Amino acid sequence: MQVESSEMQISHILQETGRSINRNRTAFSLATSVQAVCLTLLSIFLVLTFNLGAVVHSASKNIQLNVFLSPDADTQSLQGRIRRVTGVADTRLVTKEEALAELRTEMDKDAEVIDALGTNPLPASIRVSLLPGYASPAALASLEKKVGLLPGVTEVWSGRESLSKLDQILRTAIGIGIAILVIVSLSVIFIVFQTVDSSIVTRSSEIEIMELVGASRSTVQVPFILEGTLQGFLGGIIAFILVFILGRIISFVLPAPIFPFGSLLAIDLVLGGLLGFLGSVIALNRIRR
Amino acid sequence: MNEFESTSPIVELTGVSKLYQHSWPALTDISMQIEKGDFVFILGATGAGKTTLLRLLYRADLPDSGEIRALGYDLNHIARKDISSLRKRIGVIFQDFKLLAERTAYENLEFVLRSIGMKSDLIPVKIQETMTQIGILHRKDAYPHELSGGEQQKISIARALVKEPELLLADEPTGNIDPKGSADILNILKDVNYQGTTVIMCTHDAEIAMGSRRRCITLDAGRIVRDAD
Repeated sequence: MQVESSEMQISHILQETGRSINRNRTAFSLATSVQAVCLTLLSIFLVLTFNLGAVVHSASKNIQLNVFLSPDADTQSLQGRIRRVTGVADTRLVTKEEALAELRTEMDKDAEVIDALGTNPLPASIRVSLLPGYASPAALASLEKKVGLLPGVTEVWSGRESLSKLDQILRTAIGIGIAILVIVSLSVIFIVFQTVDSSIVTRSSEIEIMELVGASRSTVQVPFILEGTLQGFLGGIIAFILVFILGRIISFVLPAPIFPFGSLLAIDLVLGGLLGFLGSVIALNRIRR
Repeated sequence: MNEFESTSPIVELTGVSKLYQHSWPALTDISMQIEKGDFVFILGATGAGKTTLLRLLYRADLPDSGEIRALGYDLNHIARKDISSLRKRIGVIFQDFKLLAERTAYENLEFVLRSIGMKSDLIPVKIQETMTQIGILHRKDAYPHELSGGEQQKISIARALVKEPELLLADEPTGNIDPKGSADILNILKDVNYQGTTVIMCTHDAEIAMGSRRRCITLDAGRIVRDAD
């Protein structure tokens, strides 16, 4: 008897997978939809966390220390001493006059309020830019403390409270993201497990017959694994499309949200497919036992 | 085929016993040898142990004691992956047909040929040839539930024969067929045997078994009570 190549055997297995999905199409479609919803939730959270991370990163990059000086401060010597503090990249002196000019620019139409004061109430200051890695809330607190002790310094402000809050929000978001990832993963595995398990139970006598007439384990089992993997994969694709559309809609309302197109597509497809594969393998193992 | 397989009987049972539910003896101390090319009847009333004997031979069950060899495999210790290889070389005609309900008669045969890896372009030819031989080609597009008992029986026979097995196990293949049909089926099995396939046919019909002038092993309550040519 002439035996066909492994490519033809693969086509037989694919045909069996198609047949199984077609027969089980209602359950397959429902399970895929539920999975898509789960993965969409995860994707939305990933996009939010990614954008939040970008905001924190941008804030950290632009952060600087504002060192306010007393009128009698020796600005030259102070700048030199500040530059020697670890973590400081550069300093720039902002005189009282420059500070007032900046304020005028910022206040724009309301600048006449400043004229009403008669005098310049703003102190001179030194703006301190920081080396990368020194923009964390903890490093900023340490720098503020060190610089604040220098003679002639009246106050140091870096906005680290806001940064600290943003950082805390980002950490919480990452924590929630991990929790959602775990819940979504377990849900998707469970959904695929249920679908494949019920498909196997429904077709148990058919599987028995297939084995009795000489079908190999791979011919019988691989279609179920492919069915589960495809289900996860399709769920991932649908989730990606939904989040992509949502991202486009949001971009009309909010200023340029970051949409990590490639990463999200990869995460949705790989995670969906992998979880689908795991769910079907677990279902097959249960039946085997 | 290894050296042992080429020189030893195609089926060999030594002191085989099988208990159901750990107490009811389905088979007791069965020993027999069947040579390649033989046509052997296993005769016995319902419950004599015929189906159990066949189940042991296609490794759907394990004996509680004794040794079984078939087609060169030690069935007591056969690896799981080798079971499908064994079954690919055995054709089984099941008493309850065991047809795939969601597939047409044609697809039931096609599945077997695809599973054993036959070339795709040969499959339709082989199926047509076998169905014609059995006389069931006109029902190739029917689903099992659309077929009569006799027709289902014929599809079951066609499915067992389509892969040209080395060993054919037939469990009451004439059980659902009228006397004329029974004679036709018996002739088909004899033809298959002439072409070199070893046939083991279980039946409760002494007339068929005795009238065929072949070796006949009679079972009664799980024991061999007669083994004669």
